[in-house]
Amino acid sequence: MRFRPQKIHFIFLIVILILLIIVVPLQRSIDRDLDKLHPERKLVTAPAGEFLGQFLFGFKDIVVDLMWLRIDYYWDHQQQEKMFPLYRMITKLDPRFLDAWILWAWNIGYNLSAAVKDPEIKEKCYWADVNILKEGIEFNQDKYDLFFECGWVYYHKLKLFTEAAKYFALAGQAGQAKDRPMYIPHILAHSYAKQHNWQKSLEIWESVKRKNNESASQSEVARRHIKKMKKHIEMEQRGETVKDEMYP
Amino acid sequence: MRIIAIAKNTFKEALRGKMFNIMLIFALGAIGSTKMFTFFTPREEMKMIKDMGFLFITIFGLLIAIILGARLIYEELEKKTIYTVLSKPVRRYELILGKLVGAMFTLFINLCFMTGVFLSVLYLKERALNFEIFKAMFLIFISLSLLSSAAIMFSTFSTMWISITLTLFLYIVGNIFEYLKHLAQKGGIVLKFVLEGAYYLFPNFTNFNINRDVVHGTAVSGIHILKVTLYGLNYIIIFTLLAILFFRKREV
Repeated sequence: MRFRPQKIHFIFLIVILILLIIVVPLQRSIDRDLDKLHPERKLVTAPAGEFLGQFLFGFKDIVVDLMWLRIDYYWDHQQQEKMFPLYRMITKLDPRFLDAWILWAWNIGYNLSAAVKDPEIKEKCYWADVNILKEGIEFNQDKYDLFFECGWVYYHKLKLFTEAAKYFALAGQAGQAKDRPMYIPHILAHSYAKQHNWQKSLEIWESVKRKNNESASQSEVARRHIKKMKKHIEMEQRGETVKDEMYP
Repeated sequence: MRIIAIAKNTFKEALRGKMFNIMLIFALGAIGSTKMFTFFTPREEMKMIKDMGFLFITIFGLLIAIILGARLIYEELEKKTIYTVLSKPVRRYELILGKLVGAMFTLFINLCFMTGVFLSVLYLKERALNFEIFKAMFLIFISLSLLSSAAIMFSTFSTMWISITLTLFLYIVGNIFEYLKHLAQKGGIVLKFVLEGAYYLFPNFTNFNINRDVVHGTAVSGIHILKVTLYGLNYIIIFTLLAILFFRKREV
């Protein structure tokens, strides 16, 4: 059977139209997947960083790397004030770049805070550090890193041990167990001990001991702390005041 | 059978073309050079190496796909070899399909070489193979095949340089429609209709980019890869049908 050319053209156009109609549900379904994979897609209208990202035609990762190299240059040349706008741009373009969040926060919470003498400004630096990390956590729920860093600022700088424990606990659940470092449960146990919650700290050290039977050093650390926590619990039960340099 | 013969010939011609070989050598050299980022922390270094590797593969892949696609029909017309081909029992649609399959195979072989070097560089650094990279490479291959099919379509009614320009324009537009769609939500009903229509009409190249997920170790589901593949194949079919349609109407 032979079709007339006009008929063939008509059939082609109908097929093309059908294929274009198929694209709509397919693209919508892909959009839903990508919204989950890249939550930053929803931020396209406002901040300049993400706006720029749309006009890099798929090459924004390399622009991020070039800006990261520039940060390295500023760091080497003691021009730290120039690094901050770049950190903002980098985290807008690639919010999954963990080192950018960590270093940005660390530069404020540790370097900038060390350069100022006013305790009020120092504290503001610590809170800025925490806020940056919390912003990063929104995009990196499946990695332990930012939860841990955030917990560490609460623990080490702000001395808010309840909040610290909350973030260390989240770090201990994020991602896969094999990717998480062994010190996360240790610092979580210390955070509870800092709150004088000896029972909770004991439970964590016991679980560390159970999970690390094969590691002599890990078992030894856990055993030492279990002994200490049991002693503190007994002292509290006797109504005595616990005196511990590590957990004042 | 005739389609395969044309495809084989297209591939052989591409291999003979010095330009593509030079581009491939440059690409392999560039990918190999990514190993020089040794002054960062290990995690930053791996990110840099992977980003650079993907960049070179995408750029050289783009160049090869667009130039190859735009040249195929144009050169046949320019050298008048098309008369010899069409005087034989070869239908016009077979010529287009053969050229497309040949171009896709050339792209596939080029990508295999580039992926091989890229994986070797990564293996030397990590001492482990990252198989997620194959997912990204596969989607790069689909997007480049799509671009090649668009370039072939444009070359059925225009010159080589116009085809290259139009294909590049399609690639650029396909990367910014995501933003324009969001913009449409703020505009009036007409703007919304036009931009949303264009969003679904033109291929969205951001769909094919999972490079960043691979770099950061985010798992991309097989279902998503399948959807994006179907999406890409859909457009390859559309452009091929349009190419056949335009080529049938062309006086040769």
